[in-house]
Formats: sequence, structure tokens, C-alpha cells
Amino acid sequence: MILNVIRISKYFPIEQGIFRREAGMLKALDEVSFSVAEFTTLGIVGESGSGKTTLAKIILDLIPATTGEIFFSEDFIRNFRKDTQIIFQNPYNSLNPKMRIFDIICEPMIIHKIVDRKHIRDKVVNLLETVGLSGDILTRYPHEFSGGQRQRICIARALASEPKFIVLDEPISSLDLTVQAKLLDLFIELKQKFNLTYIFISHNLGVIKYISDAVIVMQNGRIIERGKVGDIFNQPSEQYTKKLLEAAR
Amino acid sequence: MKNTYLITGIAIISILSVIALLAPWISPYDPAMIAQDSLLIPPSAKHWMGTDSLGRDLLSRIIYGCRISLIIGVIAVGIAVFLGVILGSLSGFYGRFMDTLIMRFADIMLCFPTFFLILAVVAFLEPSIINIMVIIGLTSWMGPARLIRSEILSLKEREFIQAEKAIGASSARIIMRHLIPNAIGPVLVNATLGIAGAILLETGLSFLGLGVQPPIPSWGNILIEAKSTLGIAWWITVFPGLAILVTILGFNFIAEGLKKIIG
Repeated sequence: MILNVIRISKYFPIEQGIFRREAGMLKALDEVSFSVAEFTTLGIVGESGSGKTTLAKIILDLIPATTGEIFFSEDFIRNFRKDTQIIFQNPYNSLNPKMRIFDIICEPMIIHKIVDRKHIRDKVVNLLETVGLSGDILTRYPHEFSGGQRQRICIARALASEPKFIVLDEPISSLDLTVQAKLLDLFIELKQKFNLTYIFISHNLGVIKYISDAVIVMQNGRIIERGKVGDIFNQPSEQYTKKLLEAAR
Repeated sequence: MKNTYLITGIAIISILSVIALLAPWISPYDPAMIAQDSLLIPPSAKHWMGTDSLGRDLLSRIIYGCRISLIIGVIAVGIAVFLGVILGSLSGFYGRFMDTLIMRFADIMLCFPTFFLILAVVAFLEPSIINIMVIIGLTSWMGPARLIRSEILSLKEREFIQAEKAIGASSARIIMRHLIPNAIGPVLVNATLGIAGAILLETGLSFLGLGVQPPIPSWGNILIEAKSTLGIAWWITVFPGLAILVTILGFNFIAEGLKKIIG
């Protein structure tokens, strides 16, 4: 297993009144445990508010968990910030609007000293072509691109640190359908090319079915069902999963 | 896109800057040259803006005064923005204790009537140009600090900052390369207005005799000298007053124009 998540909980205090008295706890995640096998894709599905994004941020240590532990296999993840990456839902918000594409993509390489200065340009061009963009956009700014193109730039940035593990947090849900299909195929292609492991978060069951090896279904911060993708889709045991499947039809 | 305000403002300030830079070459007389035979001459071909009660050429004094005013305005605001950006971004980025500490300190500073605080400080120190710039800077960083803090508070939740953390960027790198460049816009608008404010402040201080000291000419201390001859020599009050007006107008136009661009 490349990743073991053990009984992770995240509570947000609910503050009330002018003195910010704690009026209660919102349980965003409640004792969530699962693991991800190397070179597979774990799909996480659930309606909005079920704690998927919170979970993604906790896995990447962007916010702290209230309780619980996360272990990455040291065989794969040696340098945590280099070997794990995330791609967010909204590509319009994920790129620094004041930076050129070249600076955006080479930043992880500079931080982790991936390549020496002389070859950095070639590597950036190479990455852009890998994600299906042309290599001559280096001096342009994010606002000049469409949502799909921006998401490709985000992917190039994530790949720049040569990660082993990527969390894809609803990476295609804000894009239109034709772009969604193309990006989904790009994710699958990149996974094989770079031997990646994915966690793919989505509320769209069709997408999860297409890309995942295993699935967990979340509701209100808990995992209510888990299993191989075929089992879940053919014989869902929970009422909630059945409803989700019906809604997707 | 036509931005009349910005263009007019930049034109005014560029002309003034050129005048300030070239002061020794374009001023017709030595601004400190006292001439017993030409006291209080009204504007004429020889002295375009007339002379003062010591026979000094007013145009030359206003040209040199322009230097002082612009330098004080720009450097004082430079100090204020520098301090404000550092303190504001630390406050916004780290939050919690750091935020409380810096913002309550800013509140305390805002409680003082700045002009009288400056008056008190200048009364203790000697009123030199450098002291005035530093004091104006040290008492006006709160505006920029608050602006940059509120920008950073909203920016740091944006996904590109989260993505930077995931990449492994250090806090210093996130603040310097990602937060400040995106938060600086409103601060620059505020700073242009601040320059106008600082120039007025210096004028006021000099008028009270606690600013730039004679014989160095500044618009404020030309005005204070004009006070005694107000009834007989209108030009000594009107021309420095006009100079101040045009300068403030220029900076305010730039601020207005920038506001339109930044939105």
C-alpha cells in the first residue's frame, strides 16, 4: 500500500455570538480509514458536503486533521512535498494570475532542484507537450487560456516535481463535457506513462467507474460503502449508493 | 481604453519631476540670492513670479521647493508602504497571535491625531528633511498594512496558494512571489493618494515652522514668509499655493486612473 489513512477525523468548531462561543462541532470527517494500493486509482464519490475535499486537503497536509494518522509508504514517497501533488476543481483559481506559464511550471522544479538551470526550459516545453499544450505559450499569462487549457497547465505543474501520487479533487467537474472526456483520457495516459497512483474525487459516478480500480462512497463525513469498482456498480449494498446510481442514470 | 485621469495625472507629475530634476539648470536665479535692489517686485518679464521681501526670485524658489516636496512625498510614502506591506502580510498570512499583535498596534497608532504626534516628535528632534520623511513614513503605514492584510486574508484561501503549499513552496516564497504581487494593487492606489497627503503634511509642518528650515525653500516655508506680506504682495501666496494644488491634483488623478484599471 502506498497510502494508509487511519481513523481520520476533522471537526470544525461552530462559533456563535459576538464572543465566538463554541456552540458545537461540525463533523466534516468522522473516523475515516482506507488505503490505496500503488499504481491504482481510488475513486472517492459522494454528494457535496460529504467531506471529500476536506479529506483531500488532509491527506496532503494542507490542513491539519483533528485526530487520526496518515502513513505514506517510504518505498514510494521519500520527499513528501515532491512526491505528492494535488489538482483542484477550479482551474480559474488554481494559477497565480500574475505569473507567466513558464514561471508557474518551473516553480516546483526550482523548489525541489529537479533539473539544472540549463535544461529547465526544455523540460517545461516537454511537460506542456505531454499534457497536450503547445510549447510556445511560455511567456503568456493564465487569463489568456480556457478552463480546459488551464487545467492542463495545472497538470503540467503537478507533474513538474515528478510525483508518484496525485490527488485529483473533482478535476473535471467545472469543465464542459467534451473537455471532460479528453482530460479523463489524459489522466489515464499519464498514469501509465509515469507510473502514478491516483485518488480521484468526484460526484459523478460515470467518471468514477471509468477511471477507478476501487471505490469508496462517502456520506456526511463517513465511508458508507467500499469495494472494487465492479462490485459497487453491480451490487450496491447501501441504500444511499443505490440512490446515487439511480440519479446518475 | 482611454484613461484620461491617468494620462493627465502622469503628465502633470512627469513635468513636475523633470522640473525638480533639472532645478539647477532651469531656475533663472539662485533661490537663496538676496537682492537689496529688488524687494517685492510683482510678476514681470525679469521675475516671472515676482520676488519676495528679501528680493529672492519666487519662481526659482518654487522650482527648488518642488524638489523638496516630491522627495519628501515619495520617500515618506515609500517608507510607509514598505512597513505596511511587511507588517500587513505577516499579519494576514500568519493570523492568530501575530495578527492580533500587529493590528491592535495599528489601531493604537490610528488613535493618535497624526499631525499633532508629528508636531510633538519634530519638536523634540531637529526638523530636518530626513527626520520629516521618516516621521511621516512611520506614522502612515497603517493604511497600507490594513489593505494588504485584507487582500491576503482572501487570497490565501484561493486554490493557487493551496497548490503552492502542495508543491512545497516555503512561507517566504508564498508571501513574496504569490501573495504580495496579487495584493499590491489597492496599496499602490492608496500610496499615490498618500504621496499627496504627505506633501500636504510637509507643507503644513513647514508653515508652522517645524518642517523644512530656511534657507532651504519648500512650498510650506515660502507660504509662511508670505504671511507677513499678504496684503501687499499677493503673488507670494498665490504661486506656491497653485504649485501645491497642481501637484496634489496630479497625484489624485493618477490614483483615480489606477483605481479604474485595478477595479
